[in-house]
Amino acid sequence: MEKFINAVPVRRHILLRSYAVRIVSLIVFVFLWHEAVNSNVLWPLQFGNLPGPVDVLREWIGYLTQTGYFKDIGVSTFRVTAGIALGLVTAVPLGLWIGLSRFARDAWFTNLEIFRPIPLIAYLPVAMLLFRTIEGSIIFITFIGAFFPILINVKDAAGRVPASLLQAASCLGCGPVRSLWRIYLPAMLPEICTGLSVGVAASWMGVITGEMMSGQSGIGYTTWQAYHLLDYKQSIIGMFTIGALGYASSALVRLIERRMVRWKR
Amino acid sequence: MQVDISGLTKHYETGTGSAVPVLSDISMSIGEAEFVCLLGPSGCGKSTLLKLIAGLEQPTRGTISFPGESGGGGGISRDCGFIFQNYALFPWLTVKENIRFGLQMRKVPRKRQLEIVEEYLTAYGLTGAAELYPSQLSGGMSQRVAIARALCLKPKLLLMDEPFGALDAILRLKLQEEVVRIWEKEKITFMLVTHDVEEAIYLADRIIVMTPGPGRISQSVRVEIPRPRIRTNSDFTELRSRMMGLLDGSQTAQQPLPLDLRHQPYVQPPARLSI
Repeated sequence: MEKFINAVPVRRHILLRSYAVRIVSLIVFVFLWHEAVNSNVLWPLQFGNLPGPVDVLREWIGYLTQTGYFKDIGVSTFRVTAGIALGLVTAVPLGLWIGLSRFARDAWFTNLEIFRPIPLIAYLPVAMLLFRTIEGSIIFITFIGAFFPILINVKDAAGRVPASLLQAASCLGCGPVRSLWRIYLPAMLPEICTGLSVGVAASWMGVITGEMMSGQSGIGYTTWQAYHLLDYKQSIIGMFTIGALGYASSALVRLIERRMVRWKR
Repeated sequence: MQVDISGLTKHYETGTGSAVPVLSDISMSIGEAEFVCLLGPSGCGKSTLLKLIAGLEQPTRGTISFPGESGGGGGISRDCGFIFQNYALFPWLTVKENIRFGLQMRKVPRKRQLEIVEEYLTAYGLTGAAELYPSQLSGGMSQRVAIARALCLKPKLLLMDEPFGALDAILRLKLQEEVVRIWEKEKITFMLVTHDVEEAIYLADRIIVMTPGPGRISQSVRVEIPRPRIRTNSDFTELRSRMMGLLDGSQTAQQPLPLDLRHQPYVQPPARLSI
């Protein structure tokens, strides 16, 4: 009992110190940024060209009252969500098929392996040609980003579903089709989530690339556009916004994973 | 449920196209409500035999039939339950949902499902664990869930593949006792695979000894020790040392026992073995 009483303050102490270090490090970063801009540092990097943190923050607070900023976020988020949804409904069944059938592996996998290493940005010309609208081509890029990580994870997971679970299900009267829903899908859920979290990150990368290159809306477009309009504050706000969106979506995936894979130790 | 096996042979195809014999010409018959242990070293095909009976694998030659069952032989019989080596509980389902799985598959009405699950949770002392996941269970509890999951479907034959393999010695003894109790209560046929002589003697009405390379039945030994069996009694230890001798080969010396249980019904015990 005594041990526990002593243990709590020690832990809390460590935690407090840990938080303190994090906050101080953030303050130091902002301060260095401020100083570098303020004293017009030009070597080795041209910090003097950047807006300072105070200006950026002031501008950002201004944005929070404008609908345009949130519209950009909404448009980009929609594109990512659509790409991920498409990626899930195609990559999960296909990965399962490839994972389970040698024929499917032979038929599909070579082709897919050729496409997999291609960076998302390199898909853009073809995407523009294939789709009538820019919206379509951008969603296509986000789809590609989500598709491959999910596919690879599902393919590996399908082969790792323990035979004993499938046999147990079969003994309990679960036929092969129902076992897809009742056994394969839940058994592969942890790997699907792993693929999803990698896919979400790639999907964000894709949407920003697509918007910068060809878009007329979205947070990526605004960030790049601001640079051309010499509105560097907005570019930096765009950067941080993209970072925050990426962070929020991976946190969301982790939350979903924790909810759905509660059974894992 | 009775089980008749005749001329059962199983080969596995290897990647190179040759066939590895796993079981060769197995014939036996198992009686209603009999407790049979398949005893043998690893690689003698005893687990494969069990899976063939369950319909999880198909024989290369030979037949398995269930006399007196309307469903006929072969295929996955609705009337047979299977306990796997590591219990094969579905890790993403709670204890309650695991037990319910088979009932859902059989399209039992929802209300009845829940009633049956409650009944088995209570009967197997799992009420407190109903909402736990398999990863949170002890070995003994996992086994009880596996048994409840199989028995709530009212099978007439329960097949168990080394169900105590992964447990510590003390728990093993306890669970062996429990299995005998369940068997006595359910009055159905049990077939259990093991490589532990003592376990086989403790549990079985009849021990079928198998040898590897490829798997064959070498002996069929009736255990006539009254239950509850006590491991330190002389009849128990005597049979054990005889069985041990039989297993390490010192007493078999290629002489087949004058005993072939192939088509002898269970109710006619043969003369006591002179091993």
